[in-house]
Amino acid sequence: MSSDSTTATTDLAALGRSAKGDALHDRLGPERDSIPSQWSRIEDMLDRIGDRLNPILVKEARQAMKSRQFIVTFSLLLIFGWLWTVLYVAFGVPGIFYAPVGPGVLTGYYVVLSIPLLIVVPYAAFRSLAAEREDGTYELLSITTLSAGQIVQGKLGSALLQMVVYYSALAPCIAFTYLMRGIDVVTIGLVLGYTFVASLLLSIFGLMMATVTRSRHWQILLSVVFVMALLVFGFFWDMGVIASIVNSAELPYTEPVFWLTNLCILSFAVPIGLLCYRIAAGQITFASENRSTPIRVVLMMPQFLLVGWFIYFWAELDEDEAMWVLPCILGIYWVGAGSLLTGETAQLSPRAMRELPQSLLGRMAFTWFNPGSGTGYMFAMLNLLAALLVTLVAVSFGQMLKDPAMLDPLGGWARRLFISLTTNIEPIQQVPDLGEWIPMVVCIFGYAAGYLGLGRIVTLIARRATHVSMLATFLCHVIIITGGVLLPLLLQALISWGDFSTFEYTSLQLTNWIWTLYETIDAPGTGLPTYAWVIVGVVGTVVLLINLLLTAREVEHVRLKAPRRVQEDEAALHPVIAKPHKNSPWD
Amino acid sequence: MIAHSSHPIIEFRRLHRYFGLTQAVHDVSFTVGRGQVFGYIGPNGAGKTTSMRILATLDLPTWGDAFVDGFSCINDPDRVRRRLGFMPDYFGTYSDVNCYEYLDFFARSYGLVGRERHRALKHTMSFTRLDELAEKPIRGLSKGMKQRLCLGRAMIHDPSVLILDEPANGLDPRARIELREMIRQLAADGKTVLVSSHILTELAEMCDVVGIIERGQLLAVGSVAEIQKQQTPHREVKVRVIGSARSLAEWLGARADVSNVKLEGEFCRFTHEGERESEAALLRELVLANFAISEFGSHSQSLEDVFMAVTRGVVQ
Repeated sequence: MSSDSTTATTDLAALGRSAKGDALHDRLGPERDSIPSQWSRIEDMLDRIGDRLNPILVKEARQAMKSRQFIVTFSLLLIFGWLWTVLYVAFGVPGIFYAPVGPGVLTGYYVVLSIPLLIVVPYAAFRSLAAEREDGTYELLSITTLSAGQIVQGKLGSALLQMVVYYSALAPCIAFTYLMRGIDVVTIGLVLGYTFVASLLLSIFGLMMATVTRSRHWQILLSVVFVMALLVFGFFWDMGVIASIVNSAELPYTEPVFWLTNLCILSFAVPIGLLCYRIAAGQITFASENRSTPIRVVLMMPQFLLVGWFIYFWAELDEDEAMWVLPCILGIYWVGAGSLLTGETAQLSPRAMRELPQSLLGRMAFTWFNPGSGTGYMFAMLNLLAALLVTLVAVSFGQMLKDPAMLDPLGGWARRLFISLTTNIEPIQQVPDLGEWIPMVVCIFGYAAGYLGLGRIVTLIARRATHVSMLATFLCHVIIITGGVLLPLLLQALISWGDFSTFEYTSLQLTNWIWTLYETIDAPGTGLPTYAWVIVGVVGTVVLLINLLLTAREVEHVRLKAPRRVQEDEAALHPVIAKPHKNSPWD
Repeated sequence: MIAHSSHPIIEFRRLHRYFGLTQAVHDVSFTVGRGQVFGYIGPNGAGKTTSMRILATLDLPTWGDAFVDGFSCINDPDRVRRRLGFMPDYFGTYSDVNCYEYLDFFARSYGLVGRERHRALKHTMSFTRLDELAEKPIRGLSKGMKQRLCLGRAMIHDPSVLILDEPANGLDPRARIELREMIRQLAADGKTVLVSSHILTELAEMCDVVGIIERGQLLAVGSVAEIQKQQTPHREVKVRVIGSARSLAEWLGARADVSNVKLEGEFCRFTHEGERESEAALLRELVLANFAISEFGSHSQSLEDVFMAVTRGVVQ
């Protein structure tokens, strides 16, 4: 090697030691020309890749590599992995030469791996964001051009990076378990995959928790509660996974339903993770931004999944319980979401109003995504109604497949057409009886619309006198919904005091949604009179209409034009390049 | 490129910020022109930090608005942030990070990429004289070094406006002088600087305009001379005359623009109503009247005098 190239390599090494590859451009100065071109090409390429990465991820990665927490966790992971190998081999000899001991070995490695993945990484993610808020560095970050979403993504990316490092560290050990026989690749993959998803979800949840409060003492309390919750969760999760590893031979891998069930479970991880992410980003977003709409969009995803999977499993397994349970889950889901959405205020900043839908169709469809108590109520109710209608269509379709004679009132042609169109579809044997199913669905909608609407009206009245927070609105809903169950029970108990043999469903229990739904689901036709579900449905609809009227002011918002200064700036930042005018088809 | 226009670079428009019943900022309005250094003065709890935080898009006003380069801090915080660098009264540094990594992180966070980022880092480190400290962990820095690092962070994306909240707090004299020089240099480079400080002599030397705030209300705004004029439209003049001090006093006493003539040995003190030009004319007349004037000086109020005259020392 020539002396020149030696000098250049030495310089590069010195700069590399300083861990400042980014700064090479400027630091090298005149020496740059003497560096072999391949080095500068690689360095340029790495620099370009680095520019595309989230800055938080870059910073956190740099910090993590120097942090005591990471070094200690990583070292302990390696030490305990090595110890487990040595001990298992030492105590298992000579049995391990003959018997398939893979599951036993994997159990130990899994416990070693699960501690950083299920406890350390989520807690580090939580502390990372919480510490930014406590130390005031979050304020400095928030005034950069990074969005709140990018900040959360960066923190999550850092958690992901740590997870990958821990997985990589234990990868040889995991491979070793496969060589010990008795465990297959599918089980290993499932165990590691589920743990990865769990760790990721816990990290997003941790990030969301970190944004809940700014107060230092609440953060400390939250910190303790969160770490305790992680320990408890980690313990039960490990128990479940160990049981699966030990009984892996019994897992029905050849059954398509097994894989569909796994897919179903994992599919719900996406909206849960997205919801936590949106809430976390929403909490730290500047107050004049529209924080509600992205959360509402994500709220719709579990609904699609619920309806889709339940109808699929009903058709696949031919079990009609799914179609009885689905409307109840949908009702609970939207009442829960609605009780938070109705706590929003309808104050839209001019900034948020610049992005409102403008066309008639757009306003009709998307106004309900705007922040506000009324739009929140209508959003929840319209979604519930839509999901129930889809479910009704599915159940009716099932009934028609089973008994095409249902279509006779429409004329013989309808029946013939339906049969010809569904020749290849196998009828579902267990279909809910519409005569019993519809009252239940009407009751669910009536109760959801009624209770949620009533809670909202109470909140609106209270807001005339004082500020009512989202938490207070939620508590108000809880009190009303619980009161609707407990009060009639108490009254009936007082009336029938001394003789509880006649303690049966009466019209007094109309507000008691638990008993009423029980009557429709578990005792159809025996206890619930027709008037009951009609009254519940009508009252719910009336409350819905009253709330719709009260929502009028919220839907009056129209799009505001951006100020001229903003338009000028936008034009300067993103100039529209005019396409050259074509004078002829050959231009 | 960001379009420039002729409007003031900073504007507070009827800004109000209440915390419960406390009026942190009450109806504050003023503007700052491009390239000016604006000193924001007031006792603790006067509302300086609150209004600076609103301008830095860290807080929302209860009423009113603040603008940076014509963009609303409420409705266009993203556009404001691109034009603004904020240095709060705390450091806000990370552990396990050295100076270079710290500045590099903020450069990336402001969207600087590639050579643009390297150039910004090089310029910032050179300007704040942090070149030699690039590899040094932040936890090992002195207060003055940290303050320079934080100034570097605030200016890394070449903002047109810098907001510095108590930048000289706790610094030794050398660090203070260095900081003052840097601020003057930034203003010379066309940056607008809004700076708050308790050290009024520092501010007097570096500010083109000052605003005095107390109990959330802006009491005075303008150059120190303007505020002084608002407070005291006359000037105290001190003249030393060889010989006929008494006759000088009599001569002055006969003038309409002179009052409160006092004799102190060779010195004659009096109050003169008028500008510097009329003071010069008076001196010329004294010389022409054959008075042997050996000293002639007018005493203008310092920023501290002005501050004490304007404020009442009431804390909320």
